[in-house]
Amino acid sequence: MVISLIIGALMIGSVYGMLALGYSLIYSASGLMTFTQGQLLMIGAFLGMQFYKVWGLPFLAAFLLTVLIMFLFGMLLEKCLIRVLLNKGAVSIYIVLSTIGISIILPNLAQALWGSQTIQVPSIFGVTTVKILGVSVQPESLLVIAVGLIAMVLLHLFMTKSRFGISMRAAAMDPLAASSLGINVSLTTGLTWAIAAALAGGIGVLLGPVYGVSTGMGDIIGNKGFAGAVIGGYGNMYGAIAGSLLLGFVETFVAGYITTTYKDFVSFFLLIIVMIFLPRGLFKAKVYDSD
Amino acid sequence: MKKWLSLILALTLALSLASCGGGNDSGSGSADTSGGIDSSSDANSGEAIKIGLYTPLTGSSALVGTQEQNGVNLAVKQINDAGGINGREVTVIAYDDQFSAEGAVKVVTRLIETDHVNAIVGSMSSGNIMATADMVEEAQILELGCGTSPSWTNCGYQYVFRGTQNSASFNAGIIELMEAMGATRLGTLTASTEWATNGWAAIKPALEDTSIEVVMETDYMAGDTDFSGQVTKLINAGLDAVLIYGGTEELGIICKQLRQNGYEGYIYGPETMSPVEVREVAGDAANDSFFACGYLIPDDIESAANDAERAFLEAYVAEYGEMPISDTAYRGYDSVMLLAEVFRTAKSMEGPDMREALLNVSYTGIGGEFDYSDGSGDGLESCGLYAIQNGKNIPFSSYQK
Repeated sequence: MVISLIIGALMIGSVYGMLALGYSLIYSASGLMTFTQGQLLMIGAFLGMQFYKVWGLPFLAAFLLTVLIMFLFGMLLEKCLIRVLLNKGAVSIYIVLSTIGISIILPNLAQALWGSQTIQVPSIFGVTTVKILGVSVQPESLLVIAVGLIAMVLLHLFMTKSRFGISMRAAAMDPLAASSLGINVSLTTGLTWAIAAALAGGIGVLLGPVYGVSTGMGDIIGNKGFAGAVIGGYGNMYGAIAGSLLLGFVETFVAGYITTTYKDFVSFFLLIIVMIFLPRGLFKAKVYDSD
Repeated sequence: MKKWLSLILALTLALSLASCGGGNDSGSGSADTSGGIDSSSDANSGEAIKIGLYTPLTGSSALVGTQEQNGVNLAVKQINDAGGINGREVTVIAYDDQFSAEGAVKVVTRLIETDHVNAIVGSMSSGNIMATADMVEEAQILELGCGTSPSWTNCGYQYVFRGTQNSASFNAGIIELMEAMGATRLGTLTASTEWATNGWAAIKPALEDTSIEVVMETDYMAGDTDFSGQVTKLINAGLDAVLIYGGTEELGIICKQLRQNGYEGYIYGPETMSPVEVREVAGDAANDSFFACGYLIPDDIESAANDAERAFLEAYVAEYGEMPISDTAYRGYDSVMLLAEVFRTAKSMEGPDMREALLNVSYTGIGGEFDYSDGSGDGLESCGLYAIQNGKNIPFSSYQK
């Protein structure tokens, strides 16, 4: 039972983690909050379904195409909405409001394009279950964990080793100084929104064959990803991953051993406890957060 | 900046209102405007008879709600094509109750106070019917609800009736199925909704008289997608039967997660297991599942259970180009046809006269013969037992182990 629970927790924790990474990246790069990650996951899931199921593309192609489109969509979102509002001197609460607006528009858009029914996405693999240490597991769950881990490692390398990633961190720490050194702050901020959207969309494609695709699929997951980011330390990339995995473990083990009725109660109670006693989250150490 | 903000906020507001509370009127071909229907709904004026409909048209339960709306619109179209009711046209004013009590209260208030409907076809959500029942009672508007929970009939309402079967009979059917399949160790996964918790609450005491032991009870929040904690717990309890009492939207995912995590026993469910969506989402994982329901949508028209169903399916396919997906289409259709009988036979269009007419109505619909004469609010008793095998819904008697 423990192994099943661990795999389940890692899987859902990775999903929350990918969303939380997006929340944290955007906050660390620009000090802004977004509430669209769950809905971007949903749009990614629908796009993946369209490419994979409807148009018959190989799953890898559908996945990469969706990630690319979501990347561009994130960039567009920043350029056409967030940047415009910022240039006009809007305070951050208006940015938050505009992202809430987007989070309402996107499900409506998806409903108009694909309808309101849950759409089944065919299994990615030929087998429906694989055995891990004697327990049956959905192969798609393992894929979600693997892709989540790979994305996290790649993002870490990008942020710490690549020239562009270092520029992004510099722009996040001190936009004025970075700008005077020739770093295009607008571009780096745009990139963080693009990466956040790509992460959400990518995990959405992977979730399609596990849960099916529906307009509401990102609502609860988006909230829990946000909670994961806060628990870990909002704006801290590593904290987002740790917080999300912790949340995944807590809710899965609470459901498995204590109560299924109040698993969300316990999870969000944990969030409140962290906010009261550890307002900067579990990861107090500065990594590249802007505060 | 203000212009931009105003634009964004206005757009957001408009879209959210459109998605959440938007009403649409349909059915007669002479479309009403969505609000501001004239208030002079005199019974003898020769004006159109207005039927109000509230049900989920957006969100997670939009599938079943829109299917109910399709059934309602089809019935109204047939009635009007046949000359209407005593020469009067029938129109439908439909609103989205958002599958929430507050959404239902809002739109039912509008149906009663603003639209002055003559009768109401109620939501497929029993919780929403209960939330608005007092308003309907006070206004003395005849309502035929399309939810199946036992909780809102046999409780003294004078104007709230059920246009379909009471799920109490389905619950008895589920127990019958479990016994027939030799279930001994049962685990449950129940949605945290009024209908589901009441459904399980009705089944549980009845199991005491059987050899079925309730080993484990778990539940989930409606709208959840990850059930790994519950599924792991159930699988490790050594069960040979799992009852999933929840909405169509989650049943397919839960079946899939149960099977893919290694559960090999039988799965049981309520009437929400019948729509094709469950089999589409779950794939092979839906096989060896059993459910009890009033209406079962066949895979093709030729397999219809009776002439009434065949005629309905032919008309439905002609109108919408596909077979119904949920039995809520049947419920909506039967409810409107029942109301049509009431309109034809009632002394007047006043609530008490229409109630009297319903108590004496003689109507045989897709679900069978309706009889409301006992005043309980229920008018149809029928329950079929079914299994899912090889990706198809089949009568339980045809299931092969």
